[in-house]
Amino acid sequence: MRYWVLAAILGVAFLAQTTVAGFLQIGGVAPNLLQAVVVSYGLLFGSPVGAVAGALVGLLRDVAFGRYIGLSVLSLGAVGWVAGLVERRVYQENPLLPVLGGLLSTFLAEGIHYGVLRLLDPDLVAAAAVSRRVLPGALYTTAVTFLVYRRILRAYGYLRPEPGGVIRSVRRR
Amino acid sequence: MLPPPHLRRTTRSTLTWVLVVLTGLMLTFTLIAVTSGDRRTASLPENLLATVLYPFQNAAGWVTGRVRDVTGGIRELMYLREENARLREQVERLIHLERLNEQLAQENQRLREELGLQDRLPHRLIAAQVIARDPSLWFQAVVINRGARHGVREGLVVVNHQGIVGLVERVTPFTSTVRLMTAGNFEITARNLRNGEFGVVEGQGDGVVVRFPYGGRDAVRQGDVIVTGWFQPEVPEGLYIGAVAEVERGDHDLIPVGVLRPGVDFQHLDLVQVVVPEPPGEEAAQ
Repeated sequence: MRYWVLAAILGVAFLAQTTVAGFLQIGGVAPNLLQAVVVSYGLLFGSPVGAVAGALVGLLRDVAFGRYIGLSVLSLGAVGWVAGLVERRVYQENPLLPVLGGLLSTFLAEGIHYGVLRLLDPDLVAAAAVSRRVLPGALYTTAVTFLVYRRILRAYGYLRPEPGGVIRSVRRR
Repeated sequence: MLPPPHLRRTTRSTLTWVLVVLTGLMLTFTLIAVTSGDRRTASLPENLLATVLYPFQNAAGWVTGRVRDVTGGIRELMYLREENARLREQVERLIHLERLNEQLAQENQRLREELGLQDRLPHRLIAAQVIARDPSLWFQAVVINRGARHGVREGLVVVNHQGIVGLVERVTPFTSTVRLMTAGNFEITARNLRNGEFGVVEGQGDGVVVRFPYGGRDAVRQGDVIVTGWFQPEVPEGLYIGAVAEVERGDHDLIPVGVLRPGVDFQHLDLVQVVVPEPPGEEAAQ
């Protein structure tokens, strides 16, 4: 596995997310590039890679914005881990995979955020506002996940050279 | 009887994984609990990371700004004719407004003199650029390229030409995190310009409301202009926050609540000013 390339992609995604993504907002909702990359890593390289990538980029996000440190570690780590659970069970070229991954991961991540924040602050005023934006956010992130996943899938052979670097559907043929 | 060696290996491996995951979860929850309090100062790792990220975010922000300038320029050219006609109309309207403004300024001056009030002190402004945004749906914050080295400190108010943007939440040597006015945990004292009633402006996650806990039924009306109050030492009085778009009845129909239409366009934040409540030139004197 070419871990340094995976790390570099995460770094670029973090910078793009915090600088450019704000200008790509539609109706007040920005795409979640970090989640798209973490889900793609999980789906393509398995739970350990997905979870570690999610936890690392989550830590970066938490420290950079100074909010509850560990919250994004937990949510993105879980997203990466759960996405990785299906890695060996599905055809990785199936276009439905990133679509479902992007959609479900948003609900999982926001659900974890909601649960932990509700524990820390029972009068969570932002909950209503976030609930209104979860669905549009999920759809937007799903579209981005699809594009990111397809791009990483194209580079799969380079990122995970033989013997691991065989796309699931190709191996079964 | 002991299980066969290959099964023992699998069990040991599973146990190791469970242990790693549990330790990770425990550490994460401890970290969340420890950092969930009201933290006014950034820790060493946060300072370090912010300092390392600063040039990259600055560069990315610069590139984004230039790209936006170019696309904005092209769009502007396309609509030049239409804009020209609109600008002519605006000029006419502005001439009228300027006359009105002069009258109001004279009236304002007269009223101030009558009331014996001092003119508001001018404040020092630190110009800053937004270089990063919090991607989370839950916390609305931006990072600006001015920090402790430039004189920014926690609690200062951040404005742009449209009004109040937010409050400085955390400061590192070269950058500061600004909690936006729309954030769920934002609070600032406010005053209704129409009747002088004092209230509290609160962020709601995607909007802003102003509550008047001690106000009567007439404390707020649609169209009222809300400015900052005087209870917070770091926040100068009279800064524009927004106009009341709608009036609701709050807790048990007792507290008047106004839904605010903030003056600031939070989706297109670029240049902002940090307001330091001290006269300009104070820094030079120090």
